Amino acid sequence: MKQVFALIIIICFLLPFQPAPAVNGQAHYISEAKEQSTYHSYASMTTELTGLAESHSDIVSMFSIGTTYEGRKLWVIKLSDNPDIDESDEPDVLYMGAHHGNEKPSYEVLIYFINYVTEKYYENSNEGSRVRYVVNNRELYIVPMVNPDGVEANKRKSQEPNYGPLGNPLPDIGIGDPVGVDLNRNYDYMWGMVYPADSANPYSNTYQGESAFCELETQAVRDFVGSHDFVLSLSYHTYSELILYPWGYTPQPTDDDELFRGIANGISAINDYEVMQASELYMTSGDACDWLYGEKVSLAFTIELGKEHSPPIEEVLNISKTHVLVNLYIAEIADNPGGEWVIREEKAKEDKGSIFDDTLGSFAAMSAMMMIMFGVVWGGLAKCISIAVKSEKMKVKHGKMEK
Amino acid sequence: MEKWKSRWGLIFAAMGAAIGTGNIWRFPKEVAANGGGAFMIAWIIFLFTWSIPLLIAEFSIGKKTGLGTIGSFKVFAGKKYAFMGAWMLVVSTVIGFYYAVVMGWVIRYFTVAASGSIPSNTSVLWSGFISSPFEVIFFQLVALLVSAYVVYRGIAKGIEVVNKILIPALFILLLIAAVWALCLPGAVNGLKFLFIPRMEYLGRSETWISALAQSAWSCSAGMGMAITYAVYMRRKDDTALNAFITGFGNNAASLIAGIAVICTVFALSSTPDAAMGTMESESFSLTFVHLTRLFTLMPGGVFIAAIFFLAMSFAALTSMISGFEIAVRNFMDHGWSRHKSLTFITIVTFLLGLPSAIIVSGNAPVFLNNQDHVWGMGLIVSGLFVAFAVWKYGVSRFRNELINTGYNDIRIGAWWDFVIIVLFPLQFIVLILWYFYQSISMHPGTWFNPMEPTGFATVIVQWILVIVALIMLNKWIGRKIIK
Repeated sequence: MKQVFALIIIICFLLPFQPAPAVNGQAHYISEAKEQSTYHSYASMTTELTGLAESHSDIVSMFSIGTTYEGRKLWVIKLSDNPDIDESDEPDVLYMGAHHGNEKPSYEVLIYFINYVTEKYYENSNEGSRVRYVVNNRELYIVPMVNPDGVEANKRKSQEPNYGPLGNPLPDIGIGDPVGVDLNRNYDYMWGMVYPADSANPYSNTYQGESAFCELETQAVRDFVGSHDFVLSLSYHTYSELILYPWGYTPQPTDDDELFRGIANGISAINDYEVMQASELYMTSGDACDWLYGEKVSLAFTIELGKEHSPPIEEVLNISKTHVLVNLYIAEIADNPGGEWVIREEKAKEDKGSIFDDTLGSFAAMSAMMMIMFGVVWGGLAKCISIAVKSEKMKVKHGKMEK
Repeated sequence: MEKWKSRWGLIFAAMGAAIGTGNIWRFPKEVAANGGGAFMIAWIIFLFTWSIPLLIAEFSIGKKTGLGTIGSFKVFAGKKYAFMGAWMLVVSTVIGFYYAVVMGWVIRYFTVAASGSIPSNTSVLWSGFISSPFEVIFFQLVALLVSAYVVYRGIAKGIEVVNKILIPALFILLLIAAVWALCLPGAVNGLKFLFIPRMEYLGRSETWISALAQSAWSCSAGMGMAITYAVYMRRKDDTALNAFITGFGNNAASLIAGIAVICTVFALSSTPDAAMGTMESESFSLTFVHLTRLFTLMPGGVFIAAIFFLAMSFAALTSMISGFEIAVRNFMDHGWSRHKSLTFITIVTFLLGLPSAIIVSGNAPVFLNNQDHVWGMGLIVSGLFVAFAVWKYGVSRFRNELINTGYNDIRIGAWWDFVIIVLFPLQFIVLILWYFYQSISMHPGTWFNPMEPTGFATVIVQWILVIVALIMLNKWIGRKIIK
């Protein structure tokens, strides 16, 4: 028997690791790569935006918030009057596109929006005065391509290879994609929490990454968002014609469910998309909106544009025109969305970390409770055991006397 | 019949059954989610209104009848109710099916940690491991063979000896892990999070219900363990004080494990927010993905990881043993030998545990989760059955004749009657309604579908199938009991 156990123990330690088998991503994510010559590439976008920033330096500034694995710069366009000054009395709004490189309309709508704003700003028309109000009284930050490497490769994920336990890049095994992380699963709010999901699998199209914020792109967004105070944010994706709001990681509603639905309905009145809580579509964790809302107290929405990942360019144009109005609407309500929001935002900041403050009170409460708990449980245990010990001694004594 | 060599053998065995993996991965999560110290207040209260009174009743019944769960119910509640004992047998055995798989995982992780080979990506380690059936089955088999071997050696030579060594060892290992965690910079945030009572939580029903559920699941009350282990008591042995020691011991282990887990998470996460996020992840993912990863962040952490998973293995083993013994005792009452009963139950546990080991989706063991969802709650029904047996006998009569026999070290007062008559049914109703409400509200579109793994219908369908089968077989189940 002992030999058998010894053998088993040895086998236990010798069993090698096996790589995780590939699991296909949700059907929704599988992209059929169609080359569209009329879409922007990273290079053509960079040229176009640089040109706009130069020719409209009174309302546009362009800067980079980081560099990708393949060395591309992550561009941010700021639209505001006095674009080089951070005007603290103007509410900040964030627009992001192309977390997923194969979802091209998601950055096209933003490039179109930037063009639209620069063009209409000087126009003497209703549209012109609407744009002027927004530009003069808000600070709009636009990250058209969060994942330019993915855009160039026409892949959903970022493009740094995933590594095996020995530091070797994972091999292509024919199923799934061994390269990259789904950036929209990589944010550090409830990261890695939702399962069942295949987000832990590096071959999956929804791979969450080795750890939260392990990707250069999400790190850049994190640091950039951290230095601003975004009241509202939109993250564009394709496709399904949906407006999604947090939470994505749980079916529970947020504390601001009504507010979210109110604004989402406002968006829906413009683009006629369906409104739902993100987790109703499917549960995800580590997505940008959960993080923006949960960690950064920003009212964050995901918009799933259109009916396919790469629609014909005329269709993209229609979508872009509609979403100019969505972008303007979001900017307009940013001074006080739903009234109570701003108060809540401040309160949330106060609440956070109050028990972790190094105050005498928190130490006292902690120590008192520890003493009570250990007193009752360990004290009770000790008391009971001492009674039992005494009683056993008595029994031994009695036993001897009876003999 | 074989007896415990000493009182301490019984106490350690009962503690061993009560302290399981739930103390280590479920308790810290529940405290974290329900307001720290506020949760603990409720949790302590329910120790005295559910777990300990039930353990007292079970110990007394087993000691009186000298039979396993089926025989106990036949003798105690009447021939018609032998199926209730069979229900307890089914619940504890079915829990054993998947518990062996979980124990296998824990052993696997111990070997990974002890050989110092935790990879940096623990998600991949976890999903890779549970989706390779042969590896999982191999470790399930290891878990089963070790447990079966202990039970095969009998009460005094097997169960008693093993628990006398492993339970003190378990406490020491947990203490080492806790002290290590406390020495990390930033651990004090974990202590604050764990202990500072956020009093607003005391006004929430969820806090109280979670505390009751934790107390009811954690102590093995209702498992039939106490009935079974009491069979091997001597006539002059104590029951009441032993029940208290079991309950306190269980909670004592939970406290230490809570400090070890939460302080590790807080000290090694980048921010308190990140730590709180981690504490909200699922039990399995918390332990096998997040904690495993956090351990590797500190020098010496791999060593602590090995200690942690060794402690988990011990906790699992001593619980697994008790599950086997519950089944073996019942078969022995039907005239089988220990050897034959054990061979039979080991094979059945292996075969019927296979679906839990194999059916996995992504990094979630879906079948296992379903079984845990269904039969974890079955334990609460078992608890109600025990209370029912006491009601039938007469609560005061039970206390006077069977508890306060003169051999007990402490007298149980009339508070016990009040708990069993009034509080017990009340707690049962609240708990079961809350559970049903949850399993419906978590799956708004699919709760009525029996194929929804953690929905409502799956619980009802499986329970009804088992209950109907047992009631139909009631006569046959009860007839063969040999005294």
